[in-house]
Amino acid sequence: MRNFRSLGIAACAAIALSAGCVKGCGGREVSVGLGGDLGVQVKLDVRSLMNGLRVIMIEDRASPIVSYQSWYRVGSVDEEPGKTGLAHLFEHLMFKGTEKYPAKQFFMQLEAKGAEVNAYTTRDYTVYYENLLPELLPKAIEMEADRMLNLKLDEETLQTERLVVLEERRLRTDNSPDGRVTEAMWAQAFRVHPYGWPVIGWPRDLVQLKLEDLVSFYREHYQPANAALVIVGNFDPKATFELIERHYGSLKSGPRPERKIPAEPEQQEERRMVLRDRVQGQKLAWGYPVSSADQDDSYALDVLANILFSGTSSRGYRRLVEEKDLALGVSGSAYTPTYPGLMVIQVMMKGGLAAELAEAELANLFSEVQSAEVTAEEISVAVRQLTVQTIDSVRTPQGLAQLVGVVNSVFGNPQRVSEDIQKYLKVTAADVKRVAQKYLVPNRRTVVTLVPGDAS
Amino acid sequence: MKTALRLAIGFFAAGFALSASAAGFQLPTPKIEKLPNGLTIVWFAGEKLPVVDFSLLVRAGYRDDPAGKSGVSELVAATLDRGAGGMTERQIAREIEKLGASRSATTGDDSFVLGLHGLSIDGERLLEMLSILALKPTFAESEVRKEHTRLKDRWSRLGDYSENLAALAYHRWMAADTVYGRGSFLSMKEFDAVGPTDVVAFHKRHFVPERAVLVLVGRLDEAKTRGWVEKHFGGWAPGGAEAASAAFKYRSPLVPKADERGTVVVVDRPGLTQAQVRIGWHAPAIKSPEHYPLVVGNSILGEFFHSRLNSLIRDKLGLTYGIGSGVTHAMELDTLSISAATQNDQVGKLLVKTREVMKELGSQGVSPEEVAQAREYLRGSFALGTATLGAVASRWLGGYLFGLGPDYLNEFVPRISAIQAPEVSAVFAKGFAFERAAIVVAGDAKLVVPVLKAAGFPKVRVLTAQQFM
Repeated sequence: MRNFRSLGIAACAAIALSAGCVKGCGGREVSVGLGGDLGVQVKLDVRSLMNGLRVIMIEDRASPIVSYQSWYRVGSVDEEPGKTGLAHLFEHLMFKGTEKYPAKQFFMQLEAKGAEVNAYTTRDYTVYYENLLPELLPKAIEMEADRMLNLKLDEETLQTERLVVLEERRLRTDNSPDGRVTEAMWAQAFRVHPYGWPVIGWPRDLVQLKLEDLVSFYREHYQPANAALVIVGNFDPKATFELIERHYGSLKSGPRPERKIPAEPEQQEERRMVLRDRVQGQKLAWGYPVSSADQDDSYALDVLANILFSGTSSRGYRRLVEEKDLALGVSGSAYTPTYPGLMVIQVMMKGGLAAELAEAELANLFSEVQSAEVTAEEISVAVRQLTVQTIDSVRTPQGLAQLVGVVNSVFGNPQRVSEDIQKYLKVTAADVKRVAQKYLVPNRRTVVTLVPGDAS
Repeated sequence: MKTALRLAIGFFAAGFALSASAAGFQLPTPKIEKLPNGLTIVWFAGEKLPVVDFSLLVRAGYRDDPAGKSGVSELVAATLDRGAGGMTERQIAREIEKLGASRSATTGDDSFVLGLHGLSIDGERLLEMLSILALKPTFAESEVRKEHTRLKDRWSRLGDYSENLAALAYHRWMAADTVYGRGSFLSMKEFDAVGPTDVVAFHKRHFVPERAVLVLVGRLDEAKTRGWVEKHFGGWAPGGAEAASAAFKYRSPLVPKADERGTVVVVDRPGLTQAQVRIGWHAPAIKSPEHYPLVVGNSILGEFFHSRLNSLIRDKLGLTYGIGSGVTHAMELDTLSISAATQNDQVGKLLVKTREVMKELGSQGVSPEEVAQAREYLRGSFALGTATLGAVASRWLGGYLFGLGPDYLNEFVPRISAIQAPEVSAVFAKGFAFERAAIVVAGDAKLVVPVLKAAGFPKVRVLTAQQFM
């Protein structure tokens, strides 16, 4: 399953294109087959408004609900040093109301009628979603269009929401051993690229963000040309698109913001950090820089990660947990987002054992996949696992909308969802060996170890 | 936090075709059959995607651990796939994972679920593997010992996470004097007394067809699947009628007694900058006439973003990232719980403000407008929560085990729609005085305790994670 995200939010997978067609009204309707020959089809209806807003619709009358998702191509990569956490804090403020729909109206108008209303921010994009009964869809469209350009921001709201975000940070990172390890890993691995700072932001920056920072951020990034709507479920595409045209069509859009992201220089040395916390056992995390999602290496990396770490029959689990009895658990996956990402391996050490023991075994494992090809059966198992994960990820309208949204956001083309299974099927043992040799290089490794001790 | 049935129900999550939409929909009800050996088969067929979930539920859980040997059911769950039907642990793992499938074994207060999830085309092999794991586990002594050691290692780390600490202490308090009083395990010392013979005995006693329900969810060919069920489960020998356990009630000496309400239990974990808070009461049972008024009342209190708790404590005061309430049910324990996390120096204020909310609910009740809104919320969220076949199956099974009848799910919306404000107000007036609440805070005691005392909570009992293990 392709990992496009990197903030502990569920990752997504992709599906295979089986046929395509173009229809009128400027729309492009594409029939997509799920999971190769497993016999499930969905139709992507892709359109654009004159102001640049992209609309992607998938009608599924078998579902009793609709997922309406607004995807903005803005995340923590669009921040600058000293203003980290801006994208996420702003996401909170998007629920604070407009002139037409004052604060809490999103909840009064939609959540109070059973809709699930929420949002999340990642390094690359920000998503606002409503999972709701079909009868609520027109109101969701109207309210999302309204807050795209008419949000009201004030100092008092900012102050309160800043406190909430600081509590969120304490919850997810400061008081979470796992959160601390993850934050340290990305900060050590990315010293120039914005992936190095946490999406939630550094506390010293959060307390200094000013209202004008947020207003400026809003004006630059929240506009039709920088957004896409993804709608999946029980709705009428024609009537829905008419509603979207009515509410979004008149919104003026500036130019799509150009991203000027500094590239991360190639890592030339192993980086190490030791964290201490009041924990009962050691934890180890290894990170290696890997490709971005749009590189075909990402498919071989996913297959490699599955062979090494997916399931209790994987090579990594067998070696560290069962054979050497060093660890209680091991996991690993390749995060390949919009820009070059990170393959992260995490090991929960058995009580009383030092992380160095796992390091030696991991090094042996990696050496093995670099020196000899994995078996055809291992590749077959990995691809089968990825196929099931892909199907599982689209079992709900919100899951399918999320998949299409992330593919559109990362690749700029929602029809790219069609390619992944086919590309996984083409991965060879030689590809796996090649990416292992290319990316699992000791002097590009970042190592974070969590050991029992005083966190202060 | 949503209203939940505290059952270990499998990992269903399938999409399905629902014939009608929105308000008036009728949820699918399953076909129920029984094999001659007493095994109940529940069918939820109709998935649009080519996947299946097969789960075997056994009516046995923590409550059924023998006296002095809590943790047995957890050890059974950990050991079932460590060898079965002549296959080694490694062979089992490979056999399932090569299908791209996944497996789970979970135990809870009242029930135990073994589940397999994979592609429909692998249905027969998945069902066969489920029967092998459930009916033919080897329980080799070396494997049981290995998992015993691993479970102890994992449990020793519960204190690494403040939310686990809070949950552990809170459960011990709320479950005191019930058959769930020991939790999943009472202590390392007691678990040390558990061995392979206990695992074998638990399995033999409880894994019998008369106490089991096989739930089949997904894209299924019913005729073929029925044949596979008969082939792989038809030979399961009945266990007889005596299987029910002699569950007994237990009270941890650590938690305050009934006449010590008002005491705040602080579980100390030095170094934390944020404390986890749990507040709770025993609640009306799921079959009680007060159940549906409580479901509506819980929504108003803390289930959705616009609830009273969240509006005041997060949205207005910025004290927490999230505060919520929920109603949970086990066969013999029902609770209303509030959960939040806040920085150490705000714990007192959070409790004071929560007390104000509860006091206002108890003395002034709720308005008809709030109840109307909550009804609408519940109607809509119920539709969302049952939008997949797996979700329907999971909820249906919960009701089935509570003996709520086959139409339980389709009665939910009409029952909720009939609730009026006076009924909700009466529930709050009667049962949920803040002074009678169990209050647990997991955090840095040297920082939290002075804050609590300054806020008017003088009775504080400081405990450690080790004391709970």
